[in-house]
Amino acid sequence: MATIQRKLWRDLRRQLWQFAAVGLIVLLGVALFGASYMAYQNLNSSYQYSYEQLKFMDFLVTQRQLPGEAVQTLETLPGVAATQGRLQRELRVEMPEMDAKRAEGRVISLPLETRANVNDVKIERGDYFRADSTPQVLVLKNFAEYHGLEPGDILALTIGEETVNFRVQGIATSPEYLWVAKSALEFFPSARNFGVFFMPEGQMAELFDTRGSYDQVAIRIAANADRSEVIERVTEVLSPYGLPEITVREKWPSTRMLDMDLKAFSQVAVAFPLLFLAVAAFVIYSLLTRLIMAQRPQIGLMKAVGYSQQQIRNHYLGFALVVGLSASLLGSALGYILSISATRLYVKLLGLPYLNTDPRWETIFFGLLAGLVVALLAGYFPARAALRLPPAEAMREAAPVSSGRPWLERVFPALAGRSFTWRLPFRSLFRSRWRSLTTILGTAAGIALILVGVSFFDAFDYAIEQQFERIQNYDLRLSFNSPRPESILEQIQTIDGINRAEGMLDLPVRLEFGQNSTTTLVSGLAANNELHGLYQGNKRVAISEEGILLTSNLRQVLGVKVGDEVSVQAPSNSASYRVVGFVDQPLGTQGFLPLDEVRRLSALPKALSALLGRRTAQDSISSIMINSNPEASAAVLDRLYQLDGVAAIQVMDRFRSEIDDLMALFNGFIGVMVIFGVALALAIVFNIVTTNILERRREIATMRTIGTPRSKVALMLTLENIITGLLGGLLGFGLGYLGAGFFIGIYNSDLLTMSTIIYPRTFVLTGLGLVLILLISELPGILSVNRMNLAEVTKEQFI
Amino acid sequence: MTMPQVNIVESHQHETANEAVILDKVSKTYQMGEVKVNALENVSLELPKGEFIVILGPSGSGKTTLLNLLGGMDSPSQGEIYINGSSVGHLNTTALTRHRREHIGFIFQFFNLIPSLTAEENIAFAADLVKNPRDTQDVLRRVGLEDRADHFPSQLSGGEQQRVAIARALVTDPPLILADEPTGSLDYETGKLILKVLRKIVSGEGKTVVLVTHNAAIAQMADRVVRLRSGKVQEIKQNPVPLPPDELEW
Repeated sequence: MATIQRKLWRDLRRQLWQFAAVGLIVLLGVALFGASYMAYQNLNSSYQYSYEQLKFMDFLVTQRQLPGEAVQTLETLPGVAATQGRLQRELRVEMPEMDAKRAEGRVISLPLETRANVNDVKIERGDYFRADSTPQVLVLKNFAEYHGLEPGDILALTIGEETVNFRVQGIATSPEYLWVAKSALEFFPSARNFGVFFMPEGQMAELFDTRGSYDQVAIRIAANADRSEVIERVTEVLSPYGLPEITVREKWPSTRMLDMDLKAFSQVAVAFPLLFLAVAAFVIYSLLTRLIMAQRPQIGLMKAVGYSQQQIRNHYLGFALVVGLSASLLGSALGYILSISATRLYVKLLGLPYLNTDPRWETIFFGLLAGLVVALLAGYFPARAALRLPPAEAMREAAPVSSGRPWLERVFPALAGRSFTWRLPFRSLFRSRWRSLTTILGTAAGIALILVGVSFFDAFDYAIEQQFERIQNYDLRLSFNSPRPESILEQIQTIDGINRAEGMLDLPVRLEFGQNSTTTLVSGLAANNELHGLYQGNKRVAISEEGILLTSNLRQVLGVKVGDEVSVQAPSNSASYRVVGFVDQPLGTQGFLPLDEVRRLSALPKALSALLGRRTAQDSISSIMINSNPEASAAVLDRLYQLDGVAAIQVMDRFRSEIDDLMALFNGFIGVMVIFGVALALAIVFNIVTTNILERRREIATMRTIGTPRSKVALMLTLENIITGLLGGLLGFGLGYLGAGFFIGIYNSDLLTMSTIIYPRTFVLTGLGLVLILLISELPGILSVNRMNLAEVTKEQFI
Repeated sequence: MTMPQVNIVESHQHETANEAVILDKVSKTYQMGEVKVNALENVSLELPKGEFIVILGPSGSGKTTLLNLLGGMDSPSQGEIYINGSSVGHLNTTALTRHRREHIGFIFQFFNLIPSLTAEENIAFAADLVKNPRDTQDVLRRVGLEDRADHFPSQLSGGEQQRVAIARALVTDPPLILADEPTGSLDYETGKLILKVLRKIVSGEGKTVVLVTHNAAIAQMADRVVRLRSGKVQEIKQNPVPLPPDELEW
């Protein structure tokens, strides 16, 4: 081994802890990138794999009373790979012995003896249908788990007026309901109130008396077929039976929801680790600069004895290479392991049918490369700067940047009168500006990383608090099978334990403004509404006769401002309304109009109304918000379930805890980010503080030699660290707040709108944590200088 | 297109059968902020091969600047420098590096040993750079440190560290050794020991040693003394009977 290589290894060994800490920063950056990006890729491929395995549809055709022959014709069309005609009906689930009592159900038919050509299910427990005459169902996993249903249990489903007992044949997962959304407007249905069931086709046809017709056809297209052409052909074939409703795969509620979630996840999975790597790059750059600058005299000597520029540069790049390569390798391995755990967790929480965790070599390679490039670049610039020095100058120690009394002592003469114990730490700040700057910036970066992570918890907590404590002032929400007269409110008000009840009419609509449009829900609220709070910041807003109120996330979606006219298209009517304001609402998008206005919009033409027997009276409501006495809740629920036409009752407390469960994954992901952030902050601060102390071994040895007590030296170092730490902390708070705004912005979606909120307690805890980290970080350095052999250190020329 | 200059080689050569070093009207100016400092002004010198030459002068007289110029660690602002007949004043970085590697051995006041390498490894650190270096054990023996080969600098005394530095300068077998205050950080006895080793390099190995010092006593052991003051050569004096280092007193 050439002597210069030996020097490299010896120096690495001599400063093992410092290089290891630099390596740890690279390792954390690479691991976080690998873990989060591979988790995203795994999740995406688990979805795709589930879609593939369970033959998920490319589009769904919905059309009532579709003859079986028409479905057979569709199969022969060019570009169609497979079709599956099926029935889909809504019904009631009766669970008198269970807490929820009743839920809304959706039942979908599947072939009895063969598996479905499109939209098959995976049996998680139990079996697929058995060829016998006992009524049987497969229950979707989330509903079964919520209500504790197992194969062999009996479940009562009410079809029309008749209640039939079904044997639970199996517990299944479906590609259509990876995310169980009831419709495009109800993203967060509670498993308490909504369940999906599968029945053998023949059994279902008999129960619903469908006489060989279908309600829907799920279609998969051939590999190279053009979907829009296939849809055109399908529409043409089905045109004699009416106008079919087509839902393409990406507009399907579950897919749309998961895509939205995945998109937010992918952005955070890339942006957060990039932030990590950027911070890591800066910290490594500053640390390697200092490590290399500490070797200035050695660089001078190497030049003097005839080492070439290239040899010297390679030597110093060698430090970066060894640190970068080993840290990147370990980081990639750790990232891979973490990505599998993260994916398993996600898959478990979402109840995905299949898990795919193939190694993502391109991501591993990119992570490795990024870690290596960051380390090499961080090492290259200081090495190049050191090489620019003429050898004679390099051999002299670098002079302090500034000399003389710092301005601080001129501005604060009181400080000048203090002892050196107080003055030196302040002077040190100005004496080595690069050191002070890197300490401040490094600490700021560490603090910002922690805050960005923790802000997600705060923002989410705040959003949920707003939604359930301030906006939804009710604890029960009762929904009917079909609109009911408002007079039912009087009946409800008489129930003991109910404090207040208000009606609401929800209507699915399409909002349009210029080129932009979106599907959402418009809710009609009474003018004296109290239970659904509408807020602009802290200001409560009343429902307005003058126009429509929109949730603030629709401002971007539609590109509207107050005063603009938006077009509201309901299934049977449409109208234009002036936007009178925006209201804050964390969950979902929504519009608000006066109750009577929504009644007008929902009114069916009289003839049709009579034909369908549906109520379009001028006093109808679709749901009721109820504020009840918590002690009487069980009795209240009993009474409410006895009312006519009650489809489901949502208990807000339970709904809130379900949302919390759903967000457990998000919390887990952010939790990992926070742990990485804290580890990185610790590594940064530890590195900087240790380097600050070790860089001055000789100076400290000199102080000690002339009789400065150890405690005084420790006090001076602590003071200096606290001063730079606090400056860094303040800057970090600002940067963290900005960073939180950015990351929360990219995470927000139609589903969840969070504001940039960092609770004061988070600032306080982070600040205290910083002081603790600072104190812990300086311990090894101080212990090391306390243990050093003064005679030896003061004799060393190169440290 | 311009024609190649045929006299390039000639202009970089000098008839120097006996001179190790020739300085021809060399000046060195440093810019210190807004102030220009003339470290050397119009210095001309001819130093013969195989001599022990002492450059003497007080602090700030330009001694170290002169030494750095000779060693190719710095470039002159004006004038030309020839080392063993080759012009080195205006070489590029690569050529200067080769020049230092092949022709110069440096000895510094503060030894400049690499703390992470043992005595022998510090010598090997320089030996690795040339094709046919001298044996590291042999040079260690010459400076009397064969039993200290595996010691790290922090385990050696100041005098021992400086002897390792001398061995490091010798291992590449350069014709010219430049020593910058080599006894400056050593005690009297150790200093004399180092001077004896240096003297032996001249008499025993035929090298040229240029030693820079402010200690006038050391001048008595030189074959030739160059006195510098304020960046100018004040006097060049030949010493017909140099004193042996043992007899020096300061």
